[in-house]
Amino acid sequence: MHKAAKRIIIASFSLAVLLLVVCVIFSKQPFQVYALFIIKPFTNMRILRTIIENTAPLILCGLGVIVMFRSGNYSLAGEGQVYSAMLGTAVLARYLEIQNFSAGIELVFSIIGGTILAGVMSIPIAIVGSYKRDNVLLISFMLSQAIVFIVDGLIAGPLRDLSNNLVATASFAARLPIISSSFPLSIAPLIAIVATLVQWFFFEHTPSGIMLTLYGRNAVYARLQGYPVWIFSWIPVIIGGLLHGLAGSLIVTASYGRVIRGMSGGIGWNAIGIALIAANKPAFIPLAALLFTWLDTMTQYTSALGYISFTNTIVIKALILLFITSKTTEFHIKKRIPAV
Amino acid sequence: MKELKLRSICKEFHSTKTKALIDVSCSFYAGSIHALVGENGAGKSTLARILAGVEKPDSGNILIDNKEFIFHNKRQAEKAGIGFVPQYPAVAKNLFVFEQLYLGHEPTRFIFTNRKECIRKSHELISTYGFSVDPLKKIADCSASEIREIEILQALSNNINMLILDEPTTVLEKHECAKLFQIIKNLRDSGKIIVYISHRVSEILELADTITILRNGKMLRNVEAHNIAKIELSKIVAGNIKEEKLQFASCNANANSVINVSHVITKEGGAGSLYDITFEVKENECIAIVGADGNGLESLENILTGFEKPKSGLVTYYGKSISSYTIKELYGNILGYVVSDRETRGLCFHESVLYNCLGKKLNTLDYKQCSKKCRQYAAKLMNDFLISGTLQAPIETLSGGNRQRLLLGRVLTENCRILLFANPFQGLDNSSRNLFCKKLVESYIHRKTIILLTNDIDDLYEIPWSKLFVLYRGMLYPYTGSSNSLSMEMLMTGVLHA
Repeated sequence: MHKAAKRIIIASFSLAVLLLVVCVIFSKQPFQVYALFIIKPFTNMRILRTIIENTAPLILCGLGVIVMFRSGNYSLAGEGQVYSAMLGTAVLARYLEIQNFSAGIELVFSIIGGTILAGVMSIPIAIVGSYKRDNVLLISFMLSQAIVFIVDGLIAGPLRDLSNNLVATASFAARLPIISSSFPLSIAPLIAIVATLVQWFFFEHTPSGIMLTLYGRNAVYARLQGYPVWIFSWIPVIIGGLLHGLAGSLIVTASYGRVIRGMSGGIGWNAIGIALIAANKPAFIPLAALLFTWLDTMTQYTSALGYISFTNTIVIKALILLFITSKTTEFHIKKRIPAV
Repeated sequence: MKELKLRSICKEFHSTKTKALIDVSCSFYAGSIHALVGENGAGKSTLARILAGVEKPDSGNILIDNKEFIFHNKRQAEKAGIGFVPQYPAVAKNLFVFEQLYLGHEPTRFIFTNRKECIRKSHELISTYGFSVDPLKKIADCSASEIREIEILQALSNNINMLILDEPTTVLEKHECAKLFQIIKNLRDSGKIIVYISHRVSEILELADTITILRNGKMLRNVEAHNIAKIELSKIVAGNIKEEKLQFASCNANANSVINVSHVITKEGGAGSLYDITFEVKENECIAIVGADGNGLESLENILTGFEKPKSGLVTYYGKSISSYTIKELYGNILGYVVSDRETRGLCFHESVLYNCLGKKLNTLDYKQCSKKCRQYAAKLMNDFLISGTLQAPIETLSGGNRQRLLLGRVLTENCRILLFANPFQGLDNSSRNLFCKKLVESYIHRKTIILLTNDIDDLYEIPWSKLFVLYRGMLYPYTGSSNSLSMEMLMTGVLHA
């Protein structure tokens, strides 16, 4: 069985068990809440739509993490990149709206602008990575933290919309088109699935994808095989940044139409978690992302009803990642060989 | 421990669908050296790893003094008195020797490591067994034979009664081997069981009291060493006997110069540095440079492949400085290179056999039918060079011999104009060595330029050399002797007294 499939099974199983434990400990009606968690998404279209809608940016972030991690660049800048892309998209969309551009142009240019902004944020990391990959982890983390502070400051300060009490930027009207009016889902999940397919094809079926994977494993080996190591040392970091940026732009343009302070909500960190669950295989990212989004959405729903606290999900996620990364939970299917 | 018995040991690796051991039974006795011999993939290392608790058998028993034992890990085997020295050194280079010797069971004072006691015990251990390594030396500064000594001492520091040595001479030179053999004999005389794994017949006959011959995972024969002759053992082990003769080929004096190394001096002073190295390799020439460890062979390998820049001097390929080539030009089209450091530079660990087979082929493929062509290419490579295993299995599941065959096969099938081989036959048995020598000669016929860098005299036989050099203390000497059969000592003295 594939490592990623094993991890998804472990994640699903541990999620089911941990959730039950949390329900039993923290809820007065544990089995009712547990059933709500499992059944409600299939009976309430609105919840199902929210889960699918929220999965899309997480998938894109997960793909961004994969492209960076598989190239051996362990960048932790995702959170800051998503947040900066959100701000860039919102500001640009608002500006284009004021300039009376059409909604289509507003949407396309704001998404492109936000995405590129996150890509630009990757440049310092890419430069560091191309000289010394070991430093990427620390530099990217510090950069991400700095970006989060700066964006927070901008939202609360010069870019704040003072017409209401929200600590948020001014809203804009343009929204991503929806796939079908009967099931009002934006095209974001479609974009995420296409990106997954493209990345899966790149890594599994193109020489460049295989070369990049081998470079990520062993840069000296890749150099000795004459692979384009200089390109591999920085391009994946930029692509990772662009994917995080696209995720941020889609979050803003799909439903919110503005950026609220703290809106990235740990998506960059969750993306690292789902990349771990998917064992860096793009094909498994949608499943892993769906699992995390389902947990988040349903906890929000049940906590709104006053059943369990939202902070419980953080503990559950941490425990799932602990199970995933622990060697002792890896199971093997072995054939018994009779003694000769 | 007086006796250790293995009864009907079976082991299959599911990832590669390889039956590594099939119903192997044998006994090891105190005060004797028991050799396990066989070709690459015979199951020698697997048997050793089972004895050492690194692998678990699928079935069968391990009996120590008629008491059954099951080892789930190496620590349990050590507690039962079994020490294991693997084929390739597994030491932490940033540690001091005394730290490595007691790694994992350091002497303590309360909860803290007692370094003074550790040093004292290390001195005691070294003098007890007659070793010569300095416990206060950094492991990074130790020679290959000193590292072997450290590994043996590390095993002995656990008060073991049985020592398993898996091809301990792979990384050693001849003179270092002699020293190691004396140490092994001393250990045998002190009443320990020694299990010695090798495919080198001469070593086996020099050391062993009892020999167990393995082939394709089965026990072929169990014989007393004094009852078997070298020729007979060679025939049983490899099915053929190697003729040890140096061959020389004439070269075309008018041919174009391909590689030019002029007055190369490396940065560092001391052991391993190069002093004023100058040589030229012409088109379709086949040259060999032989040298013992610590004489600069590693530096020369790094200089010739562009991994290290010389302090002064110049290396040119086809008249152009090596540093002016792009990575793709140099490694992709010009230089086919079998590295001496197979594990960190030559292979991509944790990736599949398939990906490791592809190497430079990936530079020439387009995305259309990439998967299909990759598989076909890898399958052909495995078939042509007798690499056993499955394409999807991780590379680390292959035996050492199979890994080396993959490395050699990959370079020999690449379309590079210059082939550089650094210790290319490490860990290979005689039949594999013969196969690759043949392929190398074919490459030479196909007008490729070949450079061999080796610390093993045996690598020089069966290939017609245009020139032969000896690297000694960082200086290069041309070999002009006429001897057809030689040793490292002969080569060195022959050069130095010329």
